[in-house]
Amino acid sequence: MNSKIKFYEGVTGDGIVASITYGKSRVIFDFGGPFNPMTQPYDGQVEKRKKSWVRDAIRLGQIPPVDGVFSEKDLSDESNVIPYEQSDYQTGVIISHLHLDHMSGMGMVHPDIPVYLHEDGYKLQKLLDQIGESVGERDYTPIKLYEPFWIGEIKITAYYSDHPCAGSVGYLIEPPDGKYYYSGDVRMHGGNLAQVLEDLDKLAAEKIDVLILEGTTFSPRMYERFGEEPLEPSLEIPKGMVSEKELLDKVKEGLEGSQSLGVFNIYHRDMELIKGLFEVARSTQREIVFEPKTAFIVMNMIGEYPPIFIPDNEEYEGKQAAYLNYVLENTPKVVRYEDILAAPQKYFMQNSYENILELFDLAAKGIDYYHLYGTPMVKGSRDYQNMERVLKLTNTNYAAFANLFSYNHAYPNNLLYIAEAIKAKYMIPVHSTNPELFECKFSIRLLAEKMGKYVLDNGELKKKQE
Amino acid sequence: MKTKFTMHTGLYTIGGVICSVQYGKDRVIFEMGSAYSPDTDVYDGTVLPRSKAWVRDAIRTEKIPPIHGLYRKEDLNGFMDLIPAEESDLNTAVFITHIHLDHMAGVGMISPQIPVYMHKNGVIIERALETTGDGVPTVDREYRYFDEGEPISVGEITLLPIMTSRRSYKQFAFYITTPDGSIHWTGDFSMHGEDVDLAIKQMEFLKKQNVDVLLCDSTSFMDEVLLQMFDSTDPAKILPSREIPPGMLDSKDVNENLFSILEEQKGLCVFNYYQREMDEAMKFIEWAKKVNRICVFEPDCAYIVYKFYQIKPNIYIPDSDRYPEDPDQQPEWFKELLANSTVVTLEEINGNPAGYLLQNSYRHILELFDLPAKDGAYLHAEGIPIGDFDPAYENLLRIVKQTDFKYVTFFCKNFFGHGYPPQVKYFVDEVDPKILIPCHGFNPERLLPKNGVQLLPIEGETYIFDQGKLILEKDYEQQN
Repeated sequence: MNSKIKFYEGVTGDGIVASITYGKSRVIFDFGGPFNPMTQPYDGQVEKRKKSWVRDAIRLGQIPPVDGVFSEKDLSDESNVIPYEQSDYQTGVIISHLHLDHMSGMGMVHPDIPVYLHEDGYKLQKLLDQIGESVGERDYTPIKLYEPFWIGEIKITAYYSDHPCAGSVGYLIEPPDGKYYYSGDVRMHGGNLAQVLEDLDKLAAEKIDVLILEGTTFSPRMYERFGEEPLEPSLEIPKGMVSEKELLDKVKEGLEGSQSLGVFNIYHRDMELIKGLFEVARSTQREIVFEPKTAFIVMNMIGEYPPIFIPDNEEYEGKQAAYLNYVLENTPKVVRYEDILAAPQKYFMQNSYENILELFDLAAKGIDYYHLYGTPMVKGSRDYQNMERVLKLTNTNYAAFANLFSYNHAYPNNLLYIAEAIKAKYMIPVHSTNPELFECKFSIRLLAEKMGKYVLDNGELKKKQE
Repeated sequence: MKTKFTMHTGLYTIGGVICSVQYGKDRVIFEMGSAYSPDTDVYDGTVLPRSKAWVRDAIRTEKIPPIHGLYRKEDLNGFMDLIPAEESDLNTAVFITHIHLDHMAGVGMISPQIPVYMHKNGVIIERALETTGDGVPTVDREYRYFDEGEPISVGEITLLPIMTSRRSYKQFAFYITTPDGSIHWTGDFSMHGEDVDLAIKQMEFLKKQNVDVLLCDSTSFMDEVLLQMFDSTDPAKILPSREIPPGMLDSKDVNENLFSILEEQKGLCVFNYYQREMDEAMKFIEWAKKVNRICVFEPDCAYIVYKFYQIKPNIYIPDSDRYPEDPDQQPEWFKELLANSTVVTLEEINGNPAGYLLQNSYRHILELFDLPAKDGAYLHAEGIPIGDFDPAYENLLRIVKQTDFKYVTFFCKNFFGHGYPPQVKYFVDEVDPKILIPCHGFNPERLLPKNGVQLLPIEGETYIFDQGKLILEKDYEQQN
């Protein structure tokens, strides 16, 4: 019996969904939708349907039509997708981390199919569920690094990834006939290179047959920075790019020289950055202040209990949600407009895009706005333009030190370092607009096709003909 | 004492005309709308409206202008040093010509102590919209009614509402007189369609009044309309004429064309219309009868139809949290509607798609995925998103394209809802005001007066009406 790998989504771009099957055992790794802010059907006016949400997600291309995963009741009668109830596979879904392009569909998975998350990700999702960022009403299964678990005949082990999202991992997937490693999202310029290198050694020792490695930075935008020079594997950071530490240093430098209110806009699933921002605030003698939802996550994920600022909107009026009560009970202080306006240079406060109008009432003595990967992120999109308009209306100083690539994902030379360190027999670059740019001299590169199936036959990976 | 005139907004935008006429302590404000610009609306579906700061934010984002003595103290909270209504010594009243949002989107932000006048029919529709959650954001307030030909006095200022359209909500022009003279605002102006007689009546009335200041709707003087008709944007080429320009259509012709489109359809017809337009709702009900279809509305629109016409509509309930199945969770308006309507199910529509004409709003567009699309048509009848100036329009087209519904737009390039340029020019020449203020359009400067002067006022600046002239207040003070 041979194992097979199938790519549903994410071979060119984000939103990874792939499966490895061995007999009737099947592992699906990641279950996210593509990140397409320019063509997002739910534009703030179109409403998500209640009973038809899964069918709609399939129709809208937000999740691929994978057989044996969705509940019968969620699929329409005429759908040609086989429901879980009629499938004879033993399936498990493993999620590398909680960025939406990797997990937005995990709540759609039939509740009897286990969905595995690293324990930190599991904890984070539980918190997200309570602040209105649930992706579906179901439970998940927490796992730990390096502790194997089984989905039928397939053994799975999670390895560390220094991606900024809490609980980021890669997975070693071992059917009886071979070894696959799915990297999830990776980077080498976060705060924990030592563990990354340690795990690379472990993976090299495993003698991986098939490495499925993210290649986000292999895009023309990033790759052109290397000019004509051949790409060499290294741990260095390309010129003009920054590490997480350098980024935080720049924020610190900016705040030290300013008498204005410091504001940051973050993605509150990225705990490493948040920890760094606490350090920045301490070293600049500013008080770090969070909005209640993020404060709830911060308190429970990293054990910090910051002051909060309560935005002026319906969410915080009348009957209060349980998370808000928790935050109010545990925060040392609720910071008011008057406090900030009296001494803006003493504060470093979070402002999420949904609450951007708060800047109108906080800008009296100037604002330094650090855009640190919170939405909106795509220049030219309507929300980005809207953000720019509001910042202009409030005379805010805008600072963004790096684009998405330079923070969340390993640079091309770093990726090459990873690929060469693991030395897998085959390498399949995924999660990249231009996977054809990514080659590793020690591995046979396979450019997977969307909906393509490949069989591992005596150590040879072959395309399976239908 | 002299009459003061301020054009706050609406000179160069389609809609959003807001003006003040003040005499002593008496003040009339006409209209409280906001130009429709979905591409730059700060509330993009993610940014949350603020609760306490809503009025201040509306002023900051230029949805409403900063006007003294109009807004509540608690809403202003000292903002821009604006005098709140509670502390103003002005006797103010606000008048709305009709309930299109570009004429009244900001009306709910006015302090409830300031009387706001609208026609009763408009209030019925707006109240129904408020009940379902689709009204304009508003304080708890009352409205006063006006009616055709019944002048209303605001101290020494008198406002005479002149009906310009018999449409369900009624539409008006305002003839305002102060001890110094007269100011007339046409509201949305048209000289074609079913209400031509009202336009002529308005014109004949104004001719007799020797109007001092005429504010006239100049929407059609924009590039695309002029270029289509004259191949030029040169105002000199716009000769006055009462007739519809050659090649352009009357609303009656357009409706006949659209009806013939409906007649041709073999499958389910879905329509997306502007829910404030009760005439349109009735038009679809009547059209459906003529082609042996049952007209069905979504609950929100059905509720307005029910309230306005006192008829029991047919309703289709989309798959949405808005319409809970559990009676304990249903909002009162929905319960009331269920008791006064007939529910049409998806199964019934599937059983006979050609038997239905079904309303579908953009918010529920994903219903198209489950509706029978074979031979079906999506009739885009000016419901939002109306056109490609709205970023949502592309999304609408994308979703319709994913289904087998044929997209049919009711947009007709040979029809324009406002008065055609030669007709507007004819109206202006006949009235022949001393001062013409063209407004409510991208190119007001192209509408020229016959004998009087054209004034394009500086928005937000106050003018003094003196001896038949409008003089900037600061210049007037220097001169005197």
